[in-house]
Amino acid sequence: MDLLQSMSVSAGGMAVQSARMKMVAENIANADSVISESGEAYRRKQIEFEAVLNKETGLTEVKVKDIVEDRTTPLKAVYQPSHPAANAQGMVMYPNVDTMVESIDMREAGRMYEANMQAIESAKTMMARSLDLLK
Amino acid sequence: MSDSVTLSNALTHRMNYLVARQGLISSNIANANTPGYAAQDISFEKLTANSHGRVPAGEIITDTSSMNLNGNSVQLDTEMVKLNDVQLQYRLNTQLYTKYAAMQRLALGRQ
Repeated sequence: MDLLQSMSVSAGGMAVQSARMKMVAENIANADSVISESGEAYRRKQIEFEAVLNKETGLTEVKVKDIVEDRTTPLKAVYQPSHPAANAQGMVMYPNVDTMVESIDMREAGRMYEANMQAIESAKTMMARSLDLLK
Repeated sequence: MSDSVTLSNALTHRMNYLVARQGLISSNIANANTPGYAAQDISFEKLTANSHGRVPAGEIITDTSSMNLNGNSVQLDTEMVKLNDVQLQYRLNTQLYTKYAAMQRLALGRQ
């Protein structure tokens, strides 16, 4: 085990957090998309992380396991009879995206990204100190 | 080489431990949002005269004391404190090593 390997674990952590940020951006951008590829309203996406033990280094890395659609939270029905996407009852189904939840998620992703950055910074300082021994 | 623990042996052992701990802390931070992940730490094994400097870095300790709703037990603030601690200890170690090397140079009559 050495410091470079620990840095690569942190880099992996940063990669999953940026994937999460990307997903949040997608959700916010599509918060009003009443039609998506499936023909229905857009459904909010959720990211799943997975811990993977690297047997060579003994360190646990992180990976994106899957990005799944949220099918539990109901879509928001709004009465808009003049809307082209309205159904027979005049209701339009809006995505189940809550911008509040998304912005909290975005903040957390940002903080976690920073924490991983700190870990890299610390590994870097330790490496620099080891190199200083050669002086 | 005698059976006693030399200073350089002890310092190497301590540095190996600190690097191992840094790795585990990095893993904990990277997995702070992974469901079911338990935070890990490592214990420091005492280096004795008859271990000939070949002591494993320590035992892995899994912490499941404060589980989150998703089964994750990483406390980000604790990890950050540990990270800082490791860094300071490492600094102490390298400085001790530098002093040790200076003392050896002195003994050899060089400056």
